[in-house]
Amino acid sequence: MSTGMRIVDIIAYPFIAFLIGMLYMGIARNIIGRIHRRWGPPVLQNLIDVFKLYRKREAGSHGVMFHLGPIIMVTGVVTCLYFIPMLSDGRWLKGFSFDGDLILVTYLMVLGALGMALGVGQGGVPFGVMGVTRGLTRLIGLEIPYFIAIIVLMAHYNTASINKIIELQAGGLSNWAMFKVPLAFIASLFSFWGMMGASPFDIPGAPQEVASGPATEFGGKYLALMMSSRGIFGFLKLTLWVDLFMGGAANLLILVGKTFVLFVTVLFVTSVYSRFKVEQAVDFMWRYPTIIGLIALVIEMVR
Amino acid sequence: MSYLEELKVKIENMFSPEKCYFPKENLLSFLVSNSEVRGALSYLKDVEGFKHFVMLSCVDWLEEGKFELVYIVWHPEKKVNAMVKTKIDREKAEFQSLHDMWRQICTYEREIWEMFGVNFIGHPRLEPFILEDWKDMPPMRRDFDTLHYVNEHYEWREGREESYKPRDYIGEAFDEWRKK
Amino acid sequence: MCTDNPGVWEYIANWARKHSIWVLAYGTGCGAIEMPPTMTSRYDAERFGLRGAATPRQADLLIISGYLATKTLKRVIRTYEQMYDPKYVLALGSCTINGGMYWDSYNTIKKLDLYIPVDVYVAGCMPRPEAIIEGIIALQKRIEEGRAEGAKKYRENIEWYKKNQREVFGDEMLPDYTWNFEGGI
Repeated sequence: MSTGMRIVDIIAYPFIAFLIGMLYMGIARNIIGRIHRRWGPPVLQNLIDVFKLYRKREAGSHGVMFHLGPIIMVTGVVTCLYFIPMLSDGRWLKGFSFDGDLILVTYLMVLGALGMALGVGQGGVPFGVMGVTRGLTRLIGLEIPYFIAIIVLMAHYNTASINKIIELQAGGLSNWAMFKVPLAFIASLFSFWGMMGASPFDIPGAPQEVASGPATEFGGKYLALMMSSRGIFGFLKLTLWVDLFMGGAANLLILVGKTFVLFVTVLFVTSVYSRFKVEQAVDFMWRYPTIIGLIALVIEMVR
Repeated sequence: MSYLEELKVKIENMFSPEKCYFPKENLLSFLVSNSEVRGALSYLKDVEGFKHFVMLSCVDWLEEGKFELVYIVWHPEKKVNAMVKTKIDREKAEFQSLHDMWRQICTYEREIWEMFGVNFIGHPRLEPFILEDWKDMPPMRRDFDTLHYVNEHYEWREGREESYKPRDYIGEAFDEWRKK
Repeated sequence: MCTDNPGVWEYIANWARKHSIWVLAYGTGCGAIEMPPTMTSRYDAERFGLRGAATPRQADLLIISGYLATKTLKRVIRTYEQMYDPKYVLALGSCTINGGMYWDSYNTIKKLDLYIPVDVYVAGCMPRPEAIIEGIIALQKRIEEGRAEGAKKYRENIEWYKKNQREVFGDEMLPDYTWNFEGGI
């Protein structure tokens, strides 16, 4: 591959994630509309929303950190995205994968929430501060089963490289990690639903409860940045789970197919359940998924 | 003899109510002098068991030159209401605050102070409640001319006065209906 | 990108604004109860790209649903001033047009457009969801043609609007910091 093509490949990386992520969010709104027995918005609705927000003529700022908060968020998400290989064919869209990137990715995934917290702190809106507090409290709950699942995975394949894990899963459905270490997959799935903001765990945003949570004071281009980063982050998580548990993807079509199946499970959970309280969510996360994950860890140690 | 009829006899013996009657079933209404209000309400609350305070209202009797304060209480076990009324002078509108008997009277008195201009002596917090920055006379008094106030303070949209008057139309229709 | 002279970008932006209207519904009167059926499955305003906004910072359209007491008007103006520039106002019912059935009430205003610029009035007492959707389509037409410039109008005629507001509020005027961004927030 020539250097020029490599540059195009790298530049296209976040945009592909953005487009597919926003499309998924639009499809989600449409499907939820159909569940309510109405037409629902068009599939491109979220892209139109983001474009409109970028073209708002005013956007009030409350200081330097308020300005930097959404930018840190996008930066963190995009940086994290580059370390997750989208395709496993070794030529296109492979990112900057290296040995041990799985550990780095788990660190970088928190950077977005951190940037948001810094920005909201300077905004000074009580709803925003409440939303951030709830979000960080929820994170304590979500990360325990997720980390346990990753430790099980690393112990099973004896590597901390995402590319290696994908390679070792090659050769048919029965080699996928979700069938090799099923309990770890189930434990991590709860964290995944929580991180995607599915309904029982959507406590930071919490519509009708704390206005719109951390995004309360942000408008115009700041909100557009936050929405873009949410779209990219959604696709990032889908790709990470496909890479870790579902054998990766050789081309873009397979990637879209696998991520869409995962995304539909999120939609099912969202449409059925109502919201937990903060302590209920943390309590749930520390109880059932953590116990399942610990059992998986014990099985892995004994084996 | 029902409970309310017994209560009526007791009240007539104890106080000197002017009009003691039943406006409707399970409601006893009587008018007492200013000094007897606290006694009547205390008797109803502590002896008879009218534990729940329903509302305090005010009626403007412009022709008599009086304000009528109406206290309504509810007996939760017997399921009956009692209505204690008193008339105060309209020019020197003052009355004692009864907020120590039921806490919620505070809010009612504050509203009546604002809307009718009745001064409740001993009330802890007589300050603007619903109206903001009101400088005119209290607006619920009957001699307050709302149309005059509106003409002074607001601008009308043109075309309103030429539109058809629903009152005339309803009047005609009502007459026709009466003839049938 | 220049935002002052209309061009291709502005044309595309107007198209996007038309199809993505985030609503801040200010439920003052009986019209508040007409909003849920407009958004839910029977009339489904979301197919036009309408969506509820949680805060004025995110909203494009302020729907004023019913009569406005002077006390409520103060809150409405503050809310309106906190919204960001391409912003529209949809006023429902005869109460906002000429006072409606509160024509001789001492504390409700008679003409909303004296105090904030109104894009579309929907007549009725109360307008049904079909009428509200008609009003939204009329607003979309205005946005597409680039005529829904309420914020610009408000900024240019700020003295006139503030004079009218002062006539109603008297001494207790609104603070300046919600509309005057000159000194920074």
